[in-house]
Amino acid sequence: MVFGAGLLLFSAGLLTYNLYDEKRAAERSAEVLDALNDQLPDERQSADSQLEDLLGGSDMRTVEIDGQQYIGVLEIPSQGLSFPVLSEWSYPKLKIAPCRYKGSVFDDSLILAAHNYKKHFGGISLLKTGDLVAFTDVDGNVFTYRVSLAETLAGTAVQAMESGEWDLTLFTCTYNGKSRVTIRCERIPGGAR
Amino acid sequence: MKQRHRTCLKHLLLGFVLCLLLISFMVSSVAAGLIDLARPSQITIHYEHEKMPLPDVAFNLYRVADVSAAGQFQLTGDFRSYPVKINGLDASALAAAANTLYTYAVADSLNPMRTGKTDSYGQMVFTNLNTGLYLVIGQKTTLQGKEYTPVPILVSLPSLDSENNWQYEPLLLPKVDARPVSGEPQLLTRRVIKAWDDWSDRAEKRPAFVTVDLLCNGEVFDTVTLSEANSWNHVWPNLNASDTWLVVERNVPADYTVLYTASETIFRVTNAYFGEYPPETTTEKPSTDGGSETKTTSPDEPKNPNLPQTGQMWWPIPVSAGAGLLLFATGWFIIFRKRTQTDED
Repeated sequence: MVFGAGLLLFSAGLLTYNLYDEKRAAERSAEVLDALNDQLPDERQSADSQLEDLLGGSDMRTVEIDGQQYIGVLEIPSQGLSFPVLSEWSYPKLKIAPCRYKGSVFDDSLILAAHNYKKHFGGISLLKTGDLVAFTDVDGNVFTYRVSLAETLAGTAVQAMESGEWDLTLFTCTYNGKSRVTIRCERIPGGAR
Repeated sequence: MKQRHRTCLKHLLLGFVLCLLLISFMVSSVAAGLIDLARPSQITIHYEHEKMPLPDVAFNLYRVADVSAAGQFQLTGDFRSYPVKINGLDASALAAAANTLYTYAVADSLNPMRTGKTDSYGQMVFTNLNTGLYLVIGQKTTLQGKEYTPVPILVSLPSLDSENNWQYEPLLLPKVDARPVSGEPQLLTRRVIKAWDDWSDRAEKRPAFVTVDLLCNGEVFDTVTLSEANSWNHVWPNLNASDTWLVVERNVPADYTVLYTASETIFRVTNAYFGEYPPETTTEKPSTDGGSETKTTSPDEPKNPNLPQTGQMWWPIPVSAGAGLLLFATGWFIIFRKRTQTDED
């Protein structure tokens, strides 16, 4: 009975921690998003083909907020979500906001990873083919994408995640943490919003 | 065994494809033949925009490279020491190389070997030229309320024509950038971006910074340092749009070539590595059929074989809650039964 009570207490503790962690991450992400939006140019322009040709393979410019480097803002209009995106990933960074796992918008190879918090990528499994996703870099260039494919990859499927030449990929853990919900997107030429 | 057969088949196929490529290359070389290096050549320029001839436009001619009988170029004269790749280029790379050599010609005020002007039909001819690679730079001109700027172009003497024959008197149709002349002075913001074309393991061996000059009509206007601290880029606001702006990288790192490309507002400086790449590492592991399987890994292959763990630990909650509830209920039931038995006794 004592062991059973211990397990119940453990469940309650873990539930409380997860809810707290999720709330903290949502608040932190929102704070950074406000600060980042203040630093982005007011005038946003669609990323034109000439810009993409010129910037292909270039490093993405970053903006520093509270000691962290951010490459831009990701928006998922169908879910009413918008997040700052960190320049590189680490476990502490993933607790703040979605992170660049690899690639660049400039050569259509960006892969973003985020925790499955409700206010991060917890809802990406609900995205449907054709849904729009937009990424705005720190210079105000808007890259617009359309969801093309949702797939589930094993946690060890590094090569599969990085292959396929998708213009934008979003991924997060499944509920059991063993696999990755993966959303593949294709850029809409001209970046029309 | 099947694996080994499959590998053999792959090698055979690869060999077959390589043979085909080699044969097609030999056929095209034979068709074109060797270059007659002693034959006098000429370049005819026909300069027009939307079928309107552009007269009285000055063009400067620079000889940038010698050509071998087999068609290989080697930078020569004032251009000899510039770190620019000129062999094995496709059309877009050749255009980028032309822009790069043009940038150096302006930055270092190089003297053209010939200068001429288009006639009333927009035509001019540079006659009696040696074989080689030539850079043609035209001057900006204004006509009927529009400003016309010819795009710098590299032309090989001789050039291969559409039937794969050497053409010693090619006709050149320079591309032209046409825009209306504005009465009001316009200001533009321009950005320079530094890019590296090498492999990521070389990042540590790259210089910590590079220095870039911004030139206004050929004169140094500003000098900036690009490094990781500014994400390898810099922005110049409020530059007069009617001036000619170029950027040039000073002291290009050893073992790198440079390429300058540009749009109206963005300059891109790319340093491409041409030194030795590290050898691929191969590891052998025994296969089940007694042979061996070879795995080749590139230096860029990630060291961590797993994707980041991006999930909260939710699954233990229902599992431990269920187990806890069961254990608690069982324990409570046992105690309850014991107490009932004791009361009955």
